[in-house]
Amino acid sequence: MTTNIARARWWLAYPVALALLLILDAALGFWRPLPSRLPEQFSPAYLNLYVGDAPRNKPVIAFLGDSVLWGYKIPEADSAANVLQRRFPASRMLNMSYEGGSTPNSAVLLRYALHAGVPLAGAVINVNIKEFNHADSAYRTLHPSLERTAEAVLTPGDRRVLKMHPAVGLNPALNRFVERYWRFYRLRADLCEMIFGTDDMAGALVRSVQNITGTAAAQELAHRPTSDKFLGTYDLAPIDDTNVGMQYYRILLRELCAAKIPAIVFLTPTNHGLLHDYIDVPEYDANLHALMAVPHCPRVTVLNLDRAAPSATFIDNDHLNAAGQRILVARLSPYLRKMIR
Amino acid sequence: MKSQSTDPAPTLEHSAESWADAKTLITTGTDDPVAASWYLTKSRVWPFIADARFGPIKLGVVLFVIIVLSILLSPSTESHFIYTDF
Amino acid sequence: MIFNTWVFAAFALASLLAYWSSPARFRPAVLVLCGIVFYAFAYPPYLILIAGLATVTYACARAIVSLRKRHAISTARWLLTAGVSASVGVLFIYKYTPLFLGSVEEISRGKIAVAIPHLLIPLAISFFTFEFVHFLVDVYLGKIVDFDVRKFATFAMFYPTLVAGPIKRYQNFAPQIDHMWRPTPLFVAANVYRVILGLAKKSIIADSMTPLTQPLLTPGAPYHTGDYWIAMFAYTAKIYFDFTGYSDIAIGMAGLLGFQILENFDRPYWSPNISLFWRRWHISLSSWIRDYIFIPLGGSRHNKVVTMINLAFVMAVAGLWHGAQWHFVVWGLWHGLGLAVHRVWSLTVAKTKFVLNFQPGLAASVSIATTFAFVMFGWVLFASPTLAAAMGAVAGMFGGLQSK
Repeated sequence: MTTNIARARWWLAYPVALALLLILDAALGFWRPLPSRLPEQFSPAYLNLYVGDAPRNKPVIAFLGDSVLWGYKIPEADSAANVLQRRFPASRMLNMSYEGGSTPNSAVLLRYALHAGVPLAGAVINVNIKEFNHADSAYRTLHPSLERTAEAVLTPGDRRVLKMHPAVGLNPALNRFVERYWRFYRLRADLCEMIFGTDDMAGALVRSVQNITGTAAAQELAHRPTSDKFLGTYDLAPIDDTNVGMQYYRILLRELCAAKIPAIVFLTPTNHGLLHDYIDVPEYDANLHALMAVPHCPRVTVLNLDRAAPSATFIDNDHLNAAGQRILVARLSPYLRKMIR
Repeated sequence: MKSQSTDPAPTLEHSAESWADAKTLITTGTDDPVAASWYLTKSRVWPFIADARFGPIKLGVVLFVIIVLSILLSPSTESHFIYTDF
Repeated sequence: MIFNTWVFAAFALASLLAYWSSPARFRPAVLVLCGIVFYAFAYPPYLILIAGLATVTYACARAIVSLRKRHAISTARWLLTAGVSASVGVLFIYKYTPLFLGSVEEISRGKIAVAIPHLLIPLAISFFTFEFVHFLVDVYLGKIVDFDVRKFATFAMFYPTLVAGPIKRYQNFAPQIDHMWRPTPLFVAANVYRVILGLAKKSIIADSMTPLTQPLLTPGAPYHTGDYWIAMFAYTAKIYFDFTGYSDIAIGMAGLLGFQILENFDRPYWSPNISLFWRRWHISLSSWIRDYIFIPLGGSRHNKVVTMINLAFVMAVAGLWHGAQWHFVVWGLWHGLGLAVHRVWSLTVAKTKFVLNFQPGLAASVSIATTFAFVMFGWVLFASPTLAAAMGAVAGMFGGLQSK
C-alpha cells in the first residue's frame, strides 16, 4: 500500500492545480461584466476596468455622486442614470456614483476618468448638503478603492487636505504584489459581489439566516427612518471656504470648466417632510444659497433640487424611490438633451 | 425510462431525426436525454474518476477548487485564529 | 506572525529555502533564527521575555541533572519548584493579574483596590510556559536525559507550533533534530496539501461562521431565539474548523521542516462520551493537564469523591488557561461536571442490565448525540465575552430576556 502511494506521482496534483489557476486567470482576462452602475463594493481593479470600459465611439456622460444617484435600495433599472440611458441610447450613461460619495470623491473621480482617457461629453453630479458635515464619513475621505486607483492623480494638496488611508506595512505591500500578478485574487471582491450580492459569503449567509429567523425584519423595523435618527446628520453651521466639502465643490466646478466639460450639478433632493424640525430653518437655506452662489463657467449648470421631490418619493432622508428617480430624470432630461446635441 | 444498455446498439428508426439527436443516439444507444446523460456519466466520466492512474489529476482539480473557494469565500475583513488569543 | 497572511507565506517560503539549503549541522540554528524573527514580528520586546524564560528553564534543568547525579534530590526539587514557578509566575503576572486584582477588589467590596495594570499579553505565553513546565518536570523525573542548548533552543523556538501549539513534548521532538526526514516530492506534496487544507478550513468554514456567532458575542443586541441556537451551532463549527485548521497548518509546516508533530484532534465531535471527547479534542493540552496536574493530584487513585473534585479542579484550570475570565472557568467546570457525571455513570448505570441490553447501534448514536449536545452547550459559555453575557445568551436561547 505504502509503496503504491509512494509510486504514484501525487505531487503532479500541484502542476495540475497551477495549470487550472492559470486557465482561470486567462479566462478572467476576457471577463467584462458591464453593469450599468458600480457594484456596491468594488475593488480598485474593478473601478479601473469599469472606467476603462467606457466606450470611445459614443458620447459618455459621467454620473458622479453618492448613493442617491447610484440608486440605493432600488433596482438597477430604476436608477435615474439607467432610465436616462434608455431615453438617450446613443450616449453612454456611465454611473460612477457610489455609497460614500462626496465632493472630494467626485472631484478626484472626475480627474481620474479624464486621466484614463474617457472621452467625457458631459457630467451629471449630485451634491448632497449632508456631506458637508464634518461628521459625515465621506467628508474628507475617499472611497478606499478610489484612493488606490487614483493614486497617480492625487495632488500634494489632496494628500494634505484629505484623510488618506494608505495601506502601509509588509502585509499590505505583499497583498498588492500578489494582486498585481494574480487576476483572480485581484477581482475576488467583485466576483463575490456578483455571486452573493455582497463582498463576502459570510455576509450573504447571515442575511439569509436572519431572513429565516425574522431578525432581518426586526432590524429593518428598528432602523426604519424616523426623524430622530437624523439628528446631527445636517450641520447647520455656515458652509464657508474652511469646509473641505466646499473646497472640493469649488475644485470640481473649476476642473469641469477647465476641461470644458458641460455638466449639470444639482443639490440633492432632501426629505423636508421627515426632517422638517431640523432643516426648515434659515441656516439651512443660507447654506444652500452659499452652494448656489459659487461661481462657475457657463458650461456648468447648477440646479437646486433640494425641495424638488415630495416626501412620498423618499425611502429615508434623501434616498429616492423609483418615483423620486423619475422626478430627477424629468428635471435632468432637458439639460442632457442639449448636452448630447 | 427508455431502454439503456451498456453495449449500445443504435437503431435506425430515428434516422430521420436531426443530426444532433442522431449523434446522441449513436453515442449512447438511446434518445432519452436523461438515460443518455446517465450512460455517458457511467461509461465515460466514472471510469476516469475510478481509475487510480488519474489520481494526481483529480487531486489537482480538488486542490484547485479548494484554493478558488478559499479565496472567494474568505471574509472581506481580516480574521485571526481563535487560539492565538490564548 | 499569523498563518493566514501573505507575510507568513513569504516568511514560510524564505525559511524553508534557508533551512533546506543549509548544511544539516546548521539547520537547528536556522530554525532558532527563524523562530526569533517569527516571534519578534508581533512585538519585539517580548522576545526578551521568552528568551529569558527559556534561559532560566534550561539553567534549572542543567542544575537539576547535576544535582540528581549527586543525589541531592531535595535541592533538585527546590530548583524544579523555582523553575516551574518562574514559568507559572510569568504566566500569572501577564495573564491573570487583572482577574486576580479585580476579584480581590470585588470580594473586599472595594476595600482593597489596586490599580489594574494594562499589560500586553505576550504572544503564545500560555503555550510556551506549558512546554517549559513539561520540560523541567520531565528532566526532574528523569524522563528527559539527553538535552543540550542546541536542541532545547530548537524546541523552544520552533516557529510552526510557537503561537498556538500543538504543545510539544521534548522526548518526541528532540530526537528528530538529528534524524530529519529527507524531503521527497511526495513528502512535500502531502505537507503542502495539509497546509492548504488548514487554510481552507479556516477561510471557507470557520470565517464564514463568524457573523452567525454574533448573538453570542454581542450581548444585548436584538436577536430572536432561533439566532441564539444557530449561533451555538455556528460557533461549534467555527471553533472546530478554526483550531483544526490552525493545527493542520502547524503540523504541515513542521512536516515541511522535517518534523513530525503529534496530532491535536481525532474526530472529537464523534466521541460517545465526554471522557473520550477530552482524549480527542486539543489532545496536546488535555494530555498536558492529565500528566502535569491531574496525575500529580492523585489521578483516579483516590476515592470517588476526591477524584471527582480533582476532575472539576483540573477542568477549571483548563478553562482558566484559555483566558482570565470567569466564563472560561465556568466552561471548565461544566466539563468537569460532565466528566464527573460520566465517571459515576460508567461505574454504576452503564453496568446495569438495562443499559447493557440496549441496541449497540442506537446506544452509540444516542451517546454521540448527547456528548455533542453537551459540548455544544459548553461553547455558549466559552464564546460569550463575559459570564453575564453567557447567561444572557442562555436566556435568549430559551426565550428569555434578550429574545424579541
